[in-house]
Amino acid sequence: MNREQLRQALVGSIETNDISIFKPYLIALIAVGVFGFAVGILTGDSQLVLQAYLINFVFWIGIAQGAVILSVVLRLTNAKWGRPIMRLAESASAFLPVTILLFIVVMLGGEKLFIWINEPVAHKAIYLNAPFMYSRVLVSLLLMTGLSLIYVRNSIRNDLAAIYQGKLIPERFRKLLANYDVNRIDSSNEKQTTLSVIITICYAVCYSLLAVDLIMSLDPHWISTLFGAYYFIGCFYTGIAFTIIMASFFIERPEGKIVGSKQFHDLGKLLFGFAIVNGDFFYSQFLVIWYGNLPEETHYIIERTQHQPWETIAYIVLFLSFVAPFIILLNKKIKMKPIAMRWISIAILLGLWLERTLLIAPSVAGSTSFPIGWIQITITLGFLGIVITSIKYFWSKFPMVVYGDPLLKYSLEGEK
Amino acid sequence: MHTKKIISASYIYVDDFVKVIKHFKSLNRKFVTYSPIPNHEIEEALGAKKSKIGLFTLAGGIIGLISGFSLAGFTAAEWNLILGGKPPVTLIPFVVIGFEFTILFGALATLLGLIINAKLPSYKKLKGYKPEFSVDHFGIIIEAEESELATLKDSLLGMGAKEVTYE
Repeated sequence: MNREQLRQALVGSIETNDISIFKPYLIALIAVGVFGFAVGILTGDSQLVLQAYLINFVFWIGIAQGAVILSVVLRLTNAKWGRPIMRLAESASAFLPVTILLFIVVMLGGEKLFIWINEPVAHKAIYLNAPFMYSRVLVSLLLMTGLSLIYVRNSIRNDLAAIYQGKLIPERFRKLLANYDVNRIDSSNEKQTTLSVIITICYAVCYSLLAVDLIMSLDPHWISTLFGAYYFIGCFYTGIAFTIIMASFFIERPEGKIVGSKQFHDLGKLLFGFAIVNGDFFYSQFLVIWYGNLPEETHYIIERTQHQPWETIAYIVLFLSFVAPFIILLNKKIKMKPIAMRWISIAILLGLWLERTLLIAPSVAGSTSFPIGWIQITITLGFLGIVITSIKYFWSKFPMVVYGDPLLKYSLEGEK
Repeated sequence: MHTKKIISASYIYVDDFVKVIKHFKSLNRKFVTYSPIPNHEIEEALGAKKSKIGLFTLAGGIIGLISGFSLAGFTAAEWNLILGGKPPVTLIPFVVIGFEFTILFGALATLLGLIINAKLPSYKKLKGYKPEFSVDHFGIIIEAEESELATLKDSLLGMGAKEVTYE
């Protein structure tokens, strides 16, 4: 694919795409979620419903933000191979503004989730009190959403300017491109790099805070210093897996030909690497707690790894998020096959979803039987519906390849 | 009796070199290449079979993993140092030793595989080899009949060779 073909494909997609995002199956998914939520609340299982909601909340914000961070990291490392998939990763940012609305439900149901709201832990009350915690989470979410959207907006502006250079800009992009100076693409790229550094640092800080506030504080007596890092590394891991799933669908579009087996190979290597990093972060915590053998630390682990039904889930998580990807992704050829990579990524996401369940569920409602029933499934489907709707909206509206990026030339024919 | 000659050509640019390799591949000729750096384009052009060294690494890694766990397990069982009420033989802390041994044995096996696969040490003089093939030039060495020397030299130079010599 050379530059002109890519431009034609992009313009073709932008101008002919169906912008109506509310497909029947998406409405159905969201309706199932709302229905499950409402019925669960009405039949009195509100704690279980909120618990499932919180699990999905921390899972999907991690995916959306992790994918954006993948794009940021590709920019910071000047990765030539990754240019074709950068916009794909950025497209997950469409879900981020929704997360702030979704958090309101967590705030409304906070008393049922966070045990310390009604029974404050005396020596931690300065930090763990409802107003301070909610404002921390909201500030983190707003900051990360804001920074990510500014980053994606700049990136899209550069591409639109490059695509429509010397041509008539379509009506709906005029507002976006207002007061954009085509001669300053270079300085705009530099600004993007500066912004990327800021986003990466804020990501580490904000997502550590989110991990502590939304997951670790559910069991207010338990502490682990590595927990924040463990959560944001896991989010980045899910972000990569999700980008692979998106890429496996993206290659069916006309401009998707630019994503070749090389991109899948490299994404697969990255996924393999983060399977190990994620496993390492888990083990680093686990080993220290095991050696220290302090009751206030071990109760958390013992409940999750030696009591049923959590023990079974713990082994499933270990298998799906570490052992299976490690063994399968050693193979070079499988990393180049989009469909195979799609299913491996889905399995990894399932593993990480169960892992979030494992972190959250025993502290909130607890369970003596297998903890996944219709409430968890319907709410997860609802979240899935919202995520797909927001990403579809992005895909149909904006150019899906970073056309204006100076490093894209390494992925185009006839240029180097 | 016809005698075989060795032609050795050196190239500065990867692109030229890849073209030459593809050219002689399409003619089904046998040749030997030298490169000062590993390069994917050259590998692809050569279409070489996958190296077997990965298998050595895998075998070494698995042996290392088992040895690491066994070493830790046997020594712990032999001495029974009971600390903090923990059982002397447990998998969790042995993962560290297993991991280190996997890497150590894997690396050593890779080195061994490299030596075996490259048939080292070799005391034969390499025909047509020039020292710059290990510094900053790509080299291709072809065995040829005396009658076709001139045409071969022309085609090698035509594809951007810096220098062509016979032996």
